[in-house]
Amino acid sequence: MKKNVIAIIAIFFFLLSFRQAQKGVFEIPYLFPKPAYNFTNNPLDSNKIKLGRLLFYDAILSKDNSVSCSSCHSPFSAFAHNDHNLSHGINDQIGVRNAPALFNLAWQTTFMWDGAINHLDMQALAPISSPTEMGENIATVVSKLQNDSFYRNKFYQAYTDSIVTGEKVLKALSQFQLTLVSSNSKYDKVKRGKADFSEQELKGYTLFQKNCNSCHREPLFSTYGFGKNFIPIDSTLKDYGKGAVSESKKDSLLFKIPSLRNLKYSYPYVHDGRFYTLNNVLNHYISEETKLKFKKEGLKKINLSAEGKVDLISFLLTLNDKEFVFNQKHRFPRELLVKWRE
Amino acid sequence: MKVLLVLVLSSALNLAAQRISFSAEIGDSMVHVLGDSKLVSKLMFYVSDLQLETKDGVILEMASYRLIDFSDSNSLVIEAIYPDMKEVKAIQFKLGIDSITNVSGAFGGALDPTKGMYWSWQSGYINFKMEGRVKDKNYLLHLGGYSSPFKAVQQVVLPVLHQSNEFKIVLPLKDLLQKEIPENNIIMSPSLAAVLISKKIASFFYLH
Repeated sequence: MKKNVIAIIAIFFFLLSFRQAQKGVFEIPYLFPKPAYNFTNNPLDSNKIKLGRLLFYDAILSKDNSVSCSSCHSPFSAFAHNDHNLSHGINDQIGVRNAPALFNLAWQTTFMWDGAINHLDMQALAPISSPTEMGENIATVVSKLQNDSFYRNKFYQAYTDSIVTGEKVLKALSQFQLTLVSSNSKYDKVKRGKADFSEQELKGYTLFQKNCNSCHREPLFSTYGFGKNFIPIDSTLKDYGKGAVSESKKDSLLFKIPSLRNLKYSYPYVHDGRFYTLNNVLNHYISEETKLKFKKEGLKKINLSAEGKVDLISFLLTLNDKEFVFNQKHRFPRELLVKWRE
Repeated sequence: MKVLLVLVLSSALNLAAQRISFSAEIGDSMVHVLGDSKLVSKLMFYVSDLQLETKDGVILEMASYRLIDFSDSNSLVIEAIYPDMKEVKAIQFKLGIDSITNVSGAFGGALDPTKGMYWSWQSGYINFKMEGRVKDKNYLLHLGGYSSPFKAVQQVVLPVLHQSNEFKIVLPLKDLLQKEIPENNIIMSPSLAAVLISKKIASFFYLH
């Protein structure tokens, strides 16, 4: 009897270990806060991550099978879109905002420059449905995937059920995007005691902490809240940011604060992509015009000499995470494709 | 088959089957499935936390989330079986989806975004959707909004005067079609108008 009990317990633990081996554990990088994403509703799983990666890179999500998430979120741009100030869509349409870089999404609670989306799972619905992006709707996406034997098989592997639903599509996309963690920049290595800042980088770090850290707070380099960047409003885009969503005056011209990680890869900058260099951005922040706007809002103005600007940029470049940008696991899933789509 | 099973089970085990059905009142008729009516071409709404309150104060849960869709007659009937049915004092439900669910990511079943009851450009469920044409004008009512000041979800409480194993809940559309819609024929985002009309709709429900 006792032997049986021990055997049963042993089998139980054996099965449990098997289960845990399949489930990915989300690792919180050194000094990073607790993630905001609720993993209990969508526990990471290697097959679901794979499915999400396939979907992320597949133009099947768009109306005419021409645009995928990666069309505007390229891994080599830290999942932003280089050289394009505004996002692109089906039929060569141009959108109204600069595609943001995608990383450290598990720490974010609102999405899009205007914060219109309240959860990572629901974010993909916006570009899928936007007529100037993918021009599709989630119900059609589900039926296209359901009619595709390759995907039926992948959904079965991920969910032990080949029935495709909107929930499964969205959660798989979240799974892949949650794995896009950037935490191996020189800055991170310095914090872990594995590297040292140069004298110039250190000077830049001090300037950063004095002038930038309240909005672009380390170690994520954003509070992921909202702020004003004080750039003059574009007369054709007329973008009021969060104010246009909430219809509240106090939210007018508030935009989601972007992280300063991976700036080398993710140019152009700001919500309409008007700045192509970090020098452009800093010149904007230290211009007389912007200083006046800071004063009017009761904010501490940014003080930066010409030399300080160079030092600050040298620090900002320590936030580039080459390992993240060139991570094979984030790339186009060539190895997962058993057949090429026509 | 399902009905037969319920009957057999309830007689064998002394179980009580309780049904709730929804219908819409258009003109003089009770409508269960919209035909190719131009007046009302689409009518869908969420009912959540559907509960029966018994005379001795016990709350019986009937359904957590249901999408009532007048293009699908199956969606209009909700059934539950209780071991010992007491007299029912009231039926209560929320018209729409609560705020917590609205901010908690993707869900399946009735809440799957493929149901056409989720906004894409801005997060949030559409609690109530009604479309059609009245007085030569198309109307689109997409009512929703989960955060203050445009929180549109409404609590509905219907007192039960006559006990029955089938309660018939009716939504009369007369006032909507004659008063609210001619004044506000397009609502497609969270707004004050959406909240006010949601309140009115919640007050229209009655037990047949």
